[in-house]
Amino acid sequence: MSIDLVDDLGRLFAEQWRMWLPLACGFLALCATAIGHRSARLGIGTVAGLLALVLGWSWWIRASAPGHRLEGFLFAVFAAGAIAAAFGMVVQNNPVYAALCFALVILSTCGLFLLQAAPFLAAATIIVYAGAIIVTFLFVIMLAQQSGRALYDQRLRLPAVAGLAGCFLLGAILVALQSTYGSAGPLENDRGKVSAVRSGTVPVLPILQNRRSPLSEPGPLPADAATLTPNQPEALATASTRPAVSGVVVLGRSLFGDYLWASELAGTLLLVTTIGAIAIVNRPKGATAV
Amino acid sequence: MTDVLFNNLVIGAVLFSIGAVGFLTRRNLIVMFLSAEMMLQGVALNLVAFGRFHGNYQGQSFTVFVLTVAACEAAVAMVLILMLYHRRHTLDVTVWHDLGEAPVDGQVPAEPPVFEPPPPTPIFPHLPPAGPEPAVVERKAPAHV
Repeated sequence: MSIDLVDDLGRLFAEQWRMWLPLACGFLALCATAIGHRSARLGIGTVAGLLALVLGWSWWIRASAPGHRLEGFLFAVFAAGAIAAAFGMVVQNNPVYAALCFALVILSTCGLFLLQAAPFLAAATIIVYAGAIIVTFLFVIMLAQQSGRALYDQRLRLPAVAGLAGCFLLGAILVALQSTYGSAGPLENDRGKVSAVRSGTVPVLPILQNRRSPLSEPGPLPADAATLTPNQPEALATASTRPAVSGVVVLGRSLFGDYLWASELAGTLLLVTTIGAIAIVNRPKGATAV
Repeated sequence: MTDVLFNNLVIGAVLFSIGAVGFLTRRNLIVMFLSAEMMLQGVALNLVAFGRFHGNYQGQSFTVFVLTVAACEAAVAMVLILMLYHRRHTLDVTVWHDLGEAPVDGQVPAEPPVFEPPPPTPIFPHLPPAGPEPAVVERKAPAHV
C-alpha cells in the first residue's frame, strides 16, 4: 500500500517536472528574500525569482498565434509585470512600498483587462482600486505608523511552510488546468465556446447555455426582448433592428437587465457599509466632539 | 482562443497563490489585507477571461460586483484595523493571538510575547481662548529710500 503511494508520488514527481521546477525556484526565491543578509536576499532572491518566472513562462504560457504577436507581447509585458510586482509586494519591508507594488499589480491587471476587451472594467478598477482603496490604505498607514522601522515588518512569518502551501495550491491549480485544457488547441474566433464544443475540448455545462441571461450577449436585442422589459416596448421595437452592439453598452445592458436585482443589492451593500464604517469608529476618551 | 484563456487562467492562479502566500506570511495587518485584495484581482482576471472566452458579458458583470464588494470590504477593514491599532498601538497581528480558543486536548498554548505599549500621550482638550484679545501692534514697513 505504501509502496504504491511512493511509486505514485515518484511518478508524479518525474512526469510533472515542468510544474514543480518553477515552483521550487519560486519557493527558493521566497525563502531567500525572507531570511539571510541583505546581499543574499537581493542576489539569490532575484536570481531564483527570475529563474522561476522564465521557466514557468516558457513551459506554461502558450505562444501567441502568428497574427496576434502584438497581443502576445502586450500580454507578456503586463503578466510579467503583475507577477513581479506581486512578488515584490509580499517581500517588501516598508508597507508604503508594498502598497505601491500593489498599485503596480493593479495597473498590470488593468492592462490584461484591456487585452480581454474590458475597457470599462480596466478604468473602473483603476479608479476604485488604485484611486480609492490604495489611497485609503496609505492614509491608514500614515495614521497607524510607528516611529522608526517596525519589528513586525522585517521578517516573514514561517516563510517555508507558507511557501510550501502556496506551491501546493499553485501546483494543484496548474495540474487541473493542464488536464482540462490539454495541449494547445487550434485557433478559434471570439465565439470560442461554440468551436471548442464542436471540437470536444471543453465540456459545456447546461447552465452555460445562456437561456436565462440573453441580455449579456453582444449583438442586437433578442426577438423576445419586449417580454424582458415591459416598460418601453416601442423603444425595443426599434432597438431590435439596430446593428450589433458590443462593449460598454452590452455591459450596461447586462448589469441593469439580467442582473438588476444584484445591482440594486450592491448599491444597498455600499450604503450599509458606509453607515457601518462610520458607526464602528470609536472616538478616544476626553476629546471634545468636533 | 483556448490558448489565450489558458494563459489568463495561469496568470490568475499565480496572482491568487502569491496573494495567499502573502496573507499567510506577513504580520502587518495592512499588508495582509493587500494580499487578500490581490487574491481578488486574480479571481477578477479569471472571470474576465472566461467572459471573453464564452463571448458574453457575464464575466464582466460579475467582476463589477467583485469590485463593489472589495471596496466595501476595504472600507470596513480599514476602520477595524484603525480600531485595533488604537487598542494595542501596533499593527502586528501576533499580539491578537490570544483571541483563539484553547486546543481540544486541554493544553494551554504558550503565552504570546508581552508587548509593552508606549505610554499614551495625553489628549489635551481644545479649550476656547480665554481673556481679552491681545492688542495688535501695527508695524509699518520701513519706507524705502
